[in-house]
Amino acid sequence: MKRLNRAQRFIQAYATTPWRRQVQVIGLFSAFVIVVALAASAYLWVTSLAATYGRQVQEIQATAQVVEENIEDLTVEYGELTTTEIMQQLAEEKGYQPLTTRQLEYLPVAGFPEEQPLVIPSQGLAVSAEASQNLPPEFTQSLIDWVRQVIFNVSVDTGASSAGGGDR
Amino acid sequence: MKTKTSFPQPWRIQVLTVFLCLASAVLLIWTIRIQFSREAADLRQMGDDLYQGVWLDVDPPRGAVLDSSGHLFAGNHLVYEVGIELAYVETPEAIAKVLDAILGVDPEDALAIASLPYALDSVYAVVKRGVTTEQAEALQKVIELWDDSSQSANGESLEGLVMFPYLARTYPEGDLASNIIGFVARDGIGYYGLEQRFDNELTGISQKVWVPNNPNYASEMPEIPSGDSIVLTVDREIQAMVELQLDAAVDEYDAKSGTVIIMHPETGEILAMATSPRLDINEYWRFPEVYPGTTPFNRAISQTFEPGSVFKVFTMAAAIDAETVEYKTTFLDTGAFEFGGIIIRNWNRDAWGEQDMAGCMRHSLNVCLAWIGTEMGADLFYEYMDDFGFGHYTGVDLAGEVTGRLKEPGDGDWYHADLATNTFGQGISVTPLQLVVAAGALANEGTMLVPHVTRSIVDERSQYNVHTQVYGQPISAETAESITEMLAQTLEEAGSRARVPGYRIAGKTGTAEIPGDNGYTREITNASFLGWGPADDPKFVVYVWLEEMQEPASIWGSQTAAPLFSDIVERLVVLMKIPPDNVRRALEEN
Repeated sequence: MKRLNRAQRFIQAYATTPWRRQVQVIGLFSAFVIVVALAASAYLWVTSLAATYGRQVQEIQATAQVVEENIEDLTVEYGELTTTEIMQQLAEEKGYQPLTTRQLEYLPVAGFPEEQPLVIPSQGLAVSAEASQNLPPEFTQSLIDWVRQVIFNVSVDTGASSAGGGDR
Repeated sequence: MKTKTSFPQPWRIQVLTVFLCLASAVLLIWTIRIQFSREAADLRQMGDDLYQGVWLDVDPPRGAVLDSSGHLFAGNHLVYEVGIELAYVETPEAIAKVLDAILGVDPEDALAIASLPYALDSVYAVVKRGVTTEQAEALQKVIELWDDSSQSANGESLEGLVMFPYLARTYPEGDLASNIIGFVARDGIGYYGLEQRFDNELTGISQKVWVPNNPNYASEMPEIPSGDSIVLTVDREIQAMVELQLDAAVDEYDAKSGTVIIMHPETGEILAMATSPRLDINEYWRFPEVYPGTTPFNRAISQTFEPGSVFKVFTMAAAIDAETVEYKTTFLDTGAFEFGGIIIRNWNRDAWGEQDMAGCMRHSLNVCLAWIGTEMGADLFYEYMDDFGFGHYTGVDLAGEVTGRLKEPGDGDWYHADLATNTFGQGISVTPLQLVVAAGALANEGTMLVPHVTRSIVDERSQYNVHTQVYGQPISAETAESITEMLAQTLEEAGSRARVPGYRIAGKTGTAEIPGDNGYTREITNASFLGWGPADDPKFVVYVWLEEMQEPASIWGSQTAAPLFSDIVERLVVLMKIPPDNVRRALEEN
């Protein structure tokens, strides 16, 4: 009969003892429950976070809508405060009068710019330009550009060092 | 030795087991079938539609309309819709009482609306739209304070009363340039003027957007660009000045209406286009009051009339260009000229003797112009008038333009006599803008340009600038210069009231009898003046028309339209920064 070594005997005893077997099953089941509970908690946590942020997104969208409407409203309010009628009335109250041809004197002024046609800044372009200024390069730079920049910076640094060395 | 004990299983238990297994299997299969059935899918879809979110039609804000310097002509302001959610109404009487007190809604109407029964197809009723921010704030305050008030203690409730904000079209300048802009009615559609012509561009593109109720499905809303904005060539200072002068003249002379157009002859840009009376487009529902019957919204482009003597300018230009006559050609005016079975007479029925072409224009001799027309011949005369654009659209970027009527040989209602009368502006119908555009050729070296009121169209990403478009070249540059010189000279020699101190102006008065059922009436006339300047380098063409002038005010264009022209141009040169002729020449020499 083959004789078991010490370790084999311990394993066999541990595996075959009835009460240990029950503990093993309970342990396995508990582990399974814990894993499931952990997964469910993680799921709940992530979903609650997503819901919270989702609600915030909706609130921001609603706020943006209100802001846009307010901008439109304020633009009109400004227009109403500066109508031709009101501006003329203000001018008259301050003692201004419309100019006549006899009151005008024309002088040649070298380099005086002519009146340029109205150019309205494009909203989309303005926003994207501003956004690109605020974003760090990690979000605006391609990997290749970054590698180039690093290499370029290194070479510049090396050059500067060399020049510095030369000065010494 | 232990023996294994076996318990015999009764057959009943075995049958029961089989039965339960079968029943479970059937239930399982049935459940799965229900779960994946078409009806279940429909039910899920219905649930999603009802509770997961809503599809909304999102209309972007309508684009703005600005004058050439960026002042707002048309924009959008915030107003509110007040309505009632019928399912939540508890005391309709309380709602009616509050709506009457704050919004001035007829309490009976409000009570009728608030008392509507709730049903699946009747959940919400509009009480009033266009409620101002101030009214909405007052209403909101009342709703908030209601719970603590004694009315609330008495069981009266405002439950169900709701408000929704939305953007509505508004025109800060009121009636200024209203004939150019048009208006947007309650249905959101643009009518007349720019609002109609550029309705699609101004409106933008509506989109259907899914707005989830479930925050887990919240996603980035698509960016819906606003409607395009439009920058006009119209300068509000010039427009306001012209309207002020025009309204005063219409009032003073008791004219039925008045129209003034100012165009830059080198670009075709309309600097002002005024009509009187006008509509405050914030109150567009008063349209029938201001424009009764078939009265057009914008007389400058939509009303045709017989232009009278200002038309002689084009006859003379055509004759000189065709070399039918020259500047110094003379004509012996005997006071009458027979052609096509009718006798043409001068405006005062006198004979003016021998006249050169400048004299014919200075004295506005019908007989002379009729002779010139017959010398040209019908084919050549009408070819030139076609080239000047009469009887055709000018192509102006406004809704509602009409063409007028230029009868030509071959038309069923054209007679030989028409050739003679057309030469001095009778028997032909034109719009004021057609006259301005045709005069643009005389002021711009013979080149006619397409008139336009739009300088730029601006969307979210770019600005499109409208370029100058050539309409045609009806006459040569030499002819244009010759006619301009002739008309400038005649104004000076005649001591016209259209003159402007310091500026040499070319122009022609018109006093047109008005055709009626019993022929032309001499008691009521259309008085007009068509002029441009400065004569050596024109920067503006101005047309003034006073409709249906009658005594006791003068019926003559020289006494009514000409001074109005002068008043307008005197202010126009200041606003356009055009120095007097001598100053300008001195500046140019330096």
